[in-house]
Parts: sequence; structure tokens; C-alpha cells
Amino acid sequence: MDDPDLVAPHRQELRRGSVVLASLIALETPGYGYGLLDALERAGLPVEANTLYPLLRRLEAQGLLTSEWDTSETRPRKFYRTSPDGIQLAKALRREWQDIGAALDRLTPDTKETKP
Amino acid sequence: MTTTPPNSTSSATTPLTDSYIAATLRRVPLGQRAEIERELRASIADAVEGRTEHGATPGTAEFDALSDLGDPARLAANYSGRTLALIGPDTYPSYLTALKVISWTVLPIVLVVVVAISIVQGKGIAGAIFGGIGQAIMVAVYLGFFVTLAFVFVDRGVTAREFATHRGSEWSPKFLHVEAPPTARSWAEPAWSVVGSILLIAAVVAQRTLSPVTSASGTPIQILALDLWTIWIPYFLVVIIASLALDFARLGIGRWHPVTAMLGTLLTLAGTVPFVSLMWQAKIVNPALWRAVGHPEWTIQGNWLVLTVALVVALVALGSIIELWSKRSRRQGQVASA
Repeated sequence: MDDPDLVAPHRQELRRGSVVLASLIALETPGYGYGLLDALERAGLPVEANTLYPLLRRLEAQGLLTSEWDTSETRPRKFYRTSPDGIQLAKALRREWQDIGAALDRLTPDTKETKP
Repeated sequence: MTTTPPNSTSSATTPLTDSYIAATLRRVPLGQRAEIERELRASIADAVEGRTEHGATPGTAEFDALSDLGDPARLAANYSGRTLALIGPDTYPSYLTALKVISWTVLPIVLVVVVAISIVQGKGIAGAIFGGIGQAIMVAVYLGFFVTLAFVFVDRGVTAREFATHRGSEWSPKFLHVEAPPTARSWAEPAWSVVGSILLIAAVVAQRTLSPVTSASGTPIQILALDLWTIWIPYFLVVIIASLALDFARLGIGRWHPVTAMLGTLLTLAGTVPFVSLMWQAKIVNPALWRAVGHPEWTIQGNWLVLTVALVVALVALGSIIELWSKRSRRQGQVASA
């Protein structure tokens, strides 16, 4: 089971949904596109730039992020911040994430035997 | 066109980045371009800076940053949420079926008819076969083009509507379209259209040499007016082939759909309106034929014969358009009673 061609698409599929949650959590502290890309990668959740940047705009359009142009530095950057709605959603998604983990534990034969 | 906001940075403006951004922007909706450009420029500049801080030269840093962003077409598609396929998964299976069935029926018949006519006209067998293959290839190119075009329209229309109806509302079984079970899905309608169209096309070709009426010198007089070959016969053939493609698309979708009904209406009108007008002007049948059989009065515009035929054709067309739309109310009635 270490064929990378077989593993990669499944990993990607599994991680895809986590990008939204990770972005909502990370942007509770305001951040800009490239900074977030870098932060996600350093945290161990690398995302393609061409996925992340459009995603940020979509989340903003859905009211889950707010944005503001910061022109005080030499390079103007668009800073995103998770909105109250986004924080609510992140909480719900995080609960969901933990539920999935718990469900997977319950389904694993070893844990099944130890539980009852 | 450039939409650089006045206070946008110029630090990363190199021809390479500029053309990358231009390639992305021309694929996103006009209204979003200025904002996306500004953000994208900043992000690229950030990425380049991040790489040069790790010791890359500015040139390689920029090249690598753009490589990481990937194909501008894909980036733009992600921004605009638009599909990259001309014919999507909804209609692709019926597109293939339509192409196969139409090719395997129309092309052999074109081949046989053209070869037979050439032989009748006294050309050698080899010349006749090569001529036939040449004609068949030409017809194949036309078929491919118009079938594809018809399906692109159907696909765009279908996906656009499905998207509009499903977005923003929770799905419920009541959105299911009432449709016949797959076993009851009928191939009869497209099969008859294919057979009918082939017979019609064969007849149009055959009447050039096989006519019941011959002139005094014994040469056959064509039934259709000779002028029609310049524009109208190719035009009607295109309409017929497009209608065939639509029949298959309809079968593939498997239920009434406003886009196919609309296209069906347009095609019916596109076929009927010029035909009725030409018929009324007595321009369909070769005038020489009427004179040869002793009815010169039927070559006059608006005579009783052409008026009757034109009226009947118009009524049949009207009936088929009404039928196209009546399936909709039947469907809605079923949904309401379900």
C-alpha cells in the first residue's frame, strides 16, 4: 500500500474539505493570501495556490470572511479575517471533524474489541 | 485591456508576470478583473520575495512562483467556477451515441447512392468509388461539426439551468423529474427520424437522375428546382442533421427539458419558414417539370397547389411545436398529482 500514484489522489480527496476549515481557523488572525499559503504549508497542510486564492474569494462572497486592503506597507495586500459567521461555521466543522475521527475509531476492529 | 488600479504595486511587474496575469484575467468575468489582478499581483510578488529570501535569483524565483500557480486557464476556471469541458458528463454519452448512429447510417448510404449514381452516369467503377468516398468524407466532416455544435448548445443550456435550480436550495425528492423508467425509454422516435432523414436525403440526391418525367429528348427532368442547390438544399440538410442530433440529445436527457424544447422550436421554424415561403413562391418544384406534364399554371407564385401545400406544412409545423411544449404541462401535471 505504498504506491504513491494510488495514495496521492485519495489523500488529496481527504484533505480537500479540510482546507476551508483550516483557512477559517487560521484567519481568525487576519492574514493575506501568500501568508496563509505559507502558514498552512508550515502547519503541515500544503495547499495549491491556484486552489487557495479563488477559495478565499468564494468564502468572502459567502460572508464567511471579510477583507480589507492594507496599503500602509510598500506592497498593498488584501487581508482576510474570519467573520462571526465563519467562526460559527469553523466551530461546527471542527465538531464534525472530531465526530468523523470518533466514528473511524469505532469502526476500527481493534478499538471495537476493547470498547465493550 | 489593462485594469490596473491606480495604487497597485509595480515591484513585480515583469513581462512574464504581466502575461501570466493577462492570460488569467481574460478568462474571468469582466467585473472581477481589477480586484483579482490587484490581489494576484500582490500574491505573486510575495511568492517571488519568499523565494529570493531563500537564495533564489529573481529570474528563477519568478519562474518557479508562476509554475506553482499553474496553468492560467485552470486558475481562471477556479476563480470563475466555470467548467472547462465543451460537452459535459450529462450529455457526453448521448453525444457519442448520436455521432456513432448518424455516421453508421448516413455515411454508408451517401456512399452507396453517390457510387450508384456515378455508375448510372457512366463513370468507371474506380472513379465512382473514389468519388463516393470523397463525398462521404465531406459529409462526415459536416456531420461531426453540426452534431457537436448542437450538443454544445444543449449541454450549456442544460447545465446552466440545473445549476440555477439546485443552487441555494436544499434538495428534495420533489425536484425529481417524472420520467419513464429506463426500459420504457423509446428508441423509436430517433430511429424513425434517422430512417426518415436518410430516405429524404437519398430522395433529394436520387431525383437528380431518377425522375418519372423525361424531356422530349429523353433526359430526366429534375423534380426540385435547380436554383435550390446553391443555398437552400445545403441549408435544409443542415437543419435536418441538427434535428437528428437534437433527437439523440433528447433521448440522452431522457425527459422533457426547456432547452431541448426551445432548440426544437427554433429548428422547426428554421426549416419551416423558408420552406413555406419558397413553396408559396412556387420555387420548390422545377418549373420545367410542370410545363412538361402540362400544368404551366402551377409555376405561378401563389397558385392553389402551392398555397395548399404551404398551408399544410405550416399547420404540421405548428402542431409539432405545440407537441414539443405540451409534454411540459403533462410532466408538471404528473408532478403536481404525485
